[in-house]
Amino acid sequence: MSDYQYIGTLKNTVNDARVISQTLDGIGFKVTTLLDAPHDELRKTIDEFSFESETADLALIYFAGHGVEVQGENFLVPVDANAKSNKDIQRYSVSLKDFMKSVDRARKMRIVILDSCRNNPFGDALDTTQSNQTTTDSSSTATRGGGNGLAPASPDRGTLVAFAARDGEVALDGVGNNSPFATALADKLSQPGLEISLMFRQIRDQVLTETRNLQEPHTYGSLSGTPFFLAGPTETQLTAQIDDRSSAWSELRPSQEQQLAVLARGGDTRSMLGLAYIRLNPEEARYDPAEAVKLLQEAARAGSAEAQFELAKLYETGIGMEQDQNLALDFYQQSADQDFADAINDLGFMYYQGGLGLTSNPQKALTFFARAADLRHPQAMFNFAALIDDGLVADKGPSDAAGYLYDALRSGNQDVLDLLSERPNMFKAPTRRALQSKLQEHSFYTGTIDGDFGPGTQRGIRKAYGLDN
Amino acid sequence: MNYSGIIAVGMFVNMVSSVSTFAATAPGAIRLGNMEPKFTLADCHNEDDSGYQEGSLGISPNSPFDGGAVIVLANCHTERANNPHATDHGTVSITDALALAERLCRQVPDGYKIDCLAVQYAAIARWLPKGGDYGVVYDVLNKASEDLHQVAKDNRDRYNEKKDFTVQLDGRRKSVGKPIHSIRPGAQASANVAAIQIIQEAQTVLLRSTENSSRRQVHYQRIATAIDSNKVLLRS
Repeated sequence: MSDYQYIGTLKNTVNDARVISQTLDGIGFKVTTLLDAPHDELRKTIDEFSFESETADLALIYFAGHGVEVQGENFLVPVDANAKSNKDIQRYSVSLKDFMKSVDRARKMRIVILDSCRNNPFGDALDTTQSNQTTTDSSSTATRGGGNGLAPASPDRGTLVAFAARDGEVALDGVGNNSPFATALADKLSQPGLEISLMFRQIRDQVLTETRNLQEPHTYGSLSGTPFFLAGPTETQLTAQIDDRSSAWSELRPSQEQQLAVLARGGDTRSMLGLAYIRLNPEEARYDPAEAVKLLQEAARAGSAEAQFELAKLYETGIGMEQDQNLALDFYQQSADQDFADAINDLGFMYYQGGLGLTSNPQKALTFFARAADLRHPQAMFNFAALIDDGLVADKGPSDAAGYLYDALRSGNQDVLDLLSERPNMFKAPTRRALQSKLQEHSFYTGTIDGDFGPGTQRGIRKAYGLDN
Repeated sequence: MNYSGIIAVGMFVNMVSSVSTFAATAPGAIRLGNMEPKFTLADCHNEDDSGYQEGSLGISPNSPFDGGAVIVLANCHTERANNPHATDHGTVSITDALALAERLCRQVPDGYKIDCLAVQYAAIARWLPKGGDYGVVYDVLNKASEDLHQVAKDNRDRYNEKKDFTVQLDGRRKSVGKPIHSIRPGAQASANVAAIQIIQEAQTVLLRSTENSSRRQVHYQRIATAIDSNKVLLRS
């Protein structure tokens, strides 16, 4: 956003959007570019993007323009915003929460990048003074009370929010054609083999250097342990096998592994996980399960829910350590206590079957499956649907089961696709009919609602999953 | 068939309730289709195949019978435990052994089928590693074996002695492996119900042990499918 109608224009933001759009397009993203958009157009585009991102591995929003914090909430300002009060801002702008919600259903990774904390364009018209009361991040700076910059973000696990400048600070527009942040971002985005956490680290370093330490980009949120190479892991390979974390982390170049080790020594748990995954790959010369266990234990002690989950799996199977059901259960529970959906689903499984020394308790299992399903865990949604279909969940019926199945399908889980394609009759006819209705509701199916999963329904299932045919 | 409502079993129901009419079809050799011998149990016993036990289940490339697959019992815990990862060959070997176990027990008289399966499951479990990827399969088969044997023991026919059976399997004589209990006629129906539940539970555990994003996923599914199933729950 550059050509603002009621507030100060910005010189470089449209240039920034163009260069980031071209860069993303160049590394294989399907890009929607919106320049100098008014509020209605921006909101409509976000809604459309939200649906499309459901079948994307990664959804990313980059916003360059005015942004403002009002009472602890961040708003991104379209070109036609004419705000004279806090309420006007809410009415005429789009919030960071809206952006995060829009990317929320992407399958593997969700990123919102705000190159927008350039100043408070509305001056005294807005009451931003309450922001100190609503933000608790200790990293907030003294400039916040003046209404400049943005408030710290609190994205869900697996979502990354990147600010061009630390919360409360102002980002620079740049003396050339692009902002220092956009320049660094475009440069690093297109670099093959650069893992995403290291990419943002390098962007930060570059911007600090370019601005002589005046501007420090900052990221919020925790990425999952799945590595992501936005421009492909190498020059020749476009995508990593991101489903297999060990293999994917093994794509990391030695120089980046060293950076990862430095970050791990500094207490970064995701880096510890990455190093552990490399050592859990039996195809690797670096295969060293005992070392992996040490790294995971350190990350688990530091509170990483994913490390606790991985440790639980290793204790369950006895890989890299002595089998220990009690410890396995303990780590599953620690992880689940932090709302780590993988652990919650597996605990449901354990309670259902009576595994790891637990007494079988189907009712308790249901509460775990329901909880993980609410966190949109694909397997848990499928499991919960199966139990609803079996009549084991009070107050829920075929329509609910179909809803969970549809969402599990949209989440991109291959097992769910395979099971619904190859063995649909594991679900009763009413659930199958309800799923057909659900597919029809979203224009994936136009045939008869008869519970018969013939070629038409199969096509609908594949379309809902995100396949073209 | 109401146990948990998750797994519906077809194969085992037939096995415990029908009179066997299975007959040998390929005299002179035990073959698993025309497959080459796969994950061989010869890997984990002596080169001269001395670990082979009559009537047991296993696969050996050293079979004197037309290159076919002979299922062999051997205690391979020491060797196997060193390999924590599932392999295609290992999984195919397990699924083949499960299929053969079912075929073998299909041929013993109705009253003996439950204990027969208990023996075969224990036999298959014996050559699995206790830990690693196959640790779950080891646990599941052992538990199913113990539970099935308990059902057979609790409902045994006191007028019918424990007995070993030798049957024709693909033209070769195979024994169950050890004397097994017969269920008393009046308890057959209830014992069948109990046995079905045990098998369902075994299937459920295996099927729900399916893990996305894990090398174990496909292996567990294939093993579980070998026992047959109707509904699957997924692990993370």
